[in-house]
Amino acid sequence: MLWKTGKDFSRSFVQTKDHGAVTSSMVLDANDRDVIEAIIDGCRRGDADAFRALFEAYKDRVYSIALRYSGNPAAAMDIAQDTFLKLLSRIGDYRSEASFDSWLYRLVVNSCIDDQRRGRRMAPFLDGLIDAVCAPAESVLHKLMRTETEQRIQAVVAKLAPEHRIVIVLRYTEGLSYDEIAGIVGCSPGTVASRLNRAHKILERRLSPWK
Amino acid sequence: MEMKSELNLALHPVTAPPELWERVQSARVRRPQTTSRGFVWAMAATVVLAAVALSLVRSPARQDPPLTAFHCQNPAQLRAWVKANTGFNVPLRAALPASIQLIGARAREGRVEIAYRAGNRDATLLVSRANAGEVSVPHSQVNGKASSWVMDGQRFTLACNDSADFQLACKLCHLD
Repeated sequence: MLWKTGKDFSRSFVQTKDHGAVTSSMVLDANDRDVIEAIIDGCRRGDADAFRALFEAYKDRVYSIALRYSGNPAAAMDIAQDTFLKLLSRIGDYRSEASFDSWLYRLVVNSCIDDQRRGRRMAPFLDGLIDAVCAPAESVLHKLMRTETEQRIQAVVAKLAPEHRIVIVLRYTEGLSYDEIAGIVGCSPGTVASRLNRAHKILERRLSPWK
Repeated sequence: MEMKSELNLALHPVTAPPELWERVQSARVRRPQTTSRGFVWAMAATVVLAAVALSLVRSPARQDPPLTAFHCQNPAQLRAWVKANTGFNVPLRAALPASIQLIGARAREGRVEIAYRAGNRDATLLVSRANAGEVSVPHSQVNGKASSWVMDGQRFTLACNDSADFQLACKLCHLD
C-alpha cells in the first residue's frame, strides 16, 4: 500500500491504494477512524509511507502543544521529535478500541513532562517579535502590541505548575473538552475543572499589573 | 471571559517547522525503530535458551572453577568471609575512613579480589598464594598504578585507576 502525502497535511492527506495499479485516490481526514486505523496498521508493519502520513496528519497538533507547554521553540522541536519517536516505537501498544488522538496526546504530555524533568531553560519568544517588526508599516504598532500581549501570556503560562499548564494548553491550544483532558492526563473531569479554575485565577493575578 | 479569549488568542495552534520531519528522520537513523514487545520477548527467550544450551554443552568438557562473591561494606564481615572461603588473612582495618568504601569480594581458584572505592575511583586488592620460598617481598611499583608485595606467604597486588590514588588506597589496611 502506498500512502501519498498532499500539500496540506494539517488535518488531511491523500491516500492512494496501490496493488500494482492505482485503484483509488481520495482526500482523507485525520479524524476518519478507518483511515487512521489503516495507517496505524501500516506503521506497525514498518511502512515508512504510513508513518509519514501519520506524521503529516498530527505534526502541527504535537508541535503546538509542545510549544505552548514549553514556551520555547527549541524545546518544542525536541519534544515533538521525542513524541514521534515514541509513537513509532510504541505503536504496537496502541489498542484500536481507544481513541488514537487521546493516546497520542498522552505521548505528547509525557514528552513535555520528560523534557521539563531534564531541566531545560526557558527562553523568551523572539519569533513573533521579529515577524511583527517585519510587518507592513501601518500594522506594525498593532502587531507589536498583540505580540507583546501574547508573549506576556505565554511567559506566564510557561511558569504555571505542570498540572495547571497542561490543562490550559490542552484546553486553549487544542480546544479539548474536560472529559477529553481528563482521559489524557489521567484524572476526573472535576479535577480538570478545578485545575483550570485555579490556573485562570493565577493567570488573572499575574497578568493584572499589565491591564 | 476576557481571560479565556486572551488565552485562545495567545495559545493558538501553530504550524510545525518543516525541519521537524528531518529531525525525526535523523533521530530514527540514530535510534533504530524498536520492535514489537512480542518480538523482544521472543528474542530474549531465544538468547536465554541459547545460553542454557551452551552451558549444558560446555559443562561436561570444561568445569570452570566456582566463583563466589560477597557484597559487603563491613570490613570485619568481609575479612571473615575471605578467611572462610579462601583461607587468606587480609588485614583490613576494623574501621575504614570515609574516603574508603568497600564494595565486596569475589574468590576463585585460590585467589580473592577485594573491590573498593578510594576517593571517587575504583581500586582492587588481589590476594593470592605466594610462590614457594617467598615469605616476604617488599612493595614494588609496577607502573605507577599497581603495586605488588608478599607478606606472610600471601601475595598482595593493589591496583588503582590513577597513581595519585595510591596513598589513599593503602588506607584499606594501613592507618593514616
